[in-house]
Amino acid sequence: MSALAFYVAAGIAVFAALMVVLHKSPAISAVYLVLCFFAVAANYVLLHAHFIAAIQILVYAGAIMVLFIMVIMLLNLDQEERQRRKFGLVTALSIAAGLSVALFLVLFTWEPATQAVAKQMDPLTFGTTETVGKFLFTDYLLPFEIASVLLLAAILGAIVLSRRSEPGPGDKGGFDA
Amino acid sequence: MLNVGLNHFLFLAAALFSIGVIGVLTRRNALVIFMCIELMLNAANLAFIAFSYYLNDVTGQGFVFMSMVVAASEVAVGLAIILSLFRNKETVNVDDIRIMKW
Repeated sequence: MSALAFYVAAGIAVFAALMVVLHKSPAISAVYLVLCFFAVAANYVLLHAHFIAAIQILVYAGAIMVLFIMVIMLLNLDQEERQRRKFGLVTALSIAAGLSVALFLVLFTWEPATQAVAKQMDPLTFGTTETVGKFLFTDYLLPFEIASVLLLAAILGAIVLSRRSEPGPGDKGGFDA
Repeated sequence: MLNVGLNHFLFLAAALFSIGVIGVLTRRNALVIFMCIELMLNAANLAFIAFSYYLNDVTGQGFVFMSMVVAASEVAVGLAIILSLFRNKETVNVDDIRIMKW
């Protein structure tokens, strides 16, 4: 049963990821990326990471994709993507193919990956909000607080970078993008 | 109990990561390149979660939480950069943006 769920979710994830790369229109790519995020969230649920699955849908499929779609809307990209490049398609594809062959070879030959069985864990508490919350607020409290500072810096950075400064009496110029 | 192994999830993560690399290397639209970077981050997160489950250790999930925070801030700042690039150069094609190149 869970094997079937895994294969369905994995198939959807790989298909959606391929469509993100192959589709010409960035807007359609964004929609397929949402589908891919949902399929990965389904895999998180299979792996008992319920809290992370919820966060994945809230942050990735929600917040990040809304940002992407807003920017696509603002940019109004209807011109065709030109295929002029110094870095050839063949080079790019062979780099990617080499990387995937290396990754898959490692996975095929690496003993722990082929023989790992899940250790005994409590399915009622593993991966719940309580467990992850306790983990974040005890052992990793400092990184958690630093993450909030990072988010604040990102908010300020995004505002400064994307604001359109208009010349006015009190305006010193500053970061005109 | 899950009857698929750790390597199944690692294969999926490797496949998603490779697709992301292909996208970053072949696409020329800065927005799509950005989406492919998100795809690669997601593949790494999936590997973290898989290891966390099979080692019965919640640390991996904490790391994924941190990585999502970094991804969110990266998207906010990166999209702001793309937006201001578009205001200046009227394009998001990475081949046309070469003002830092000499």
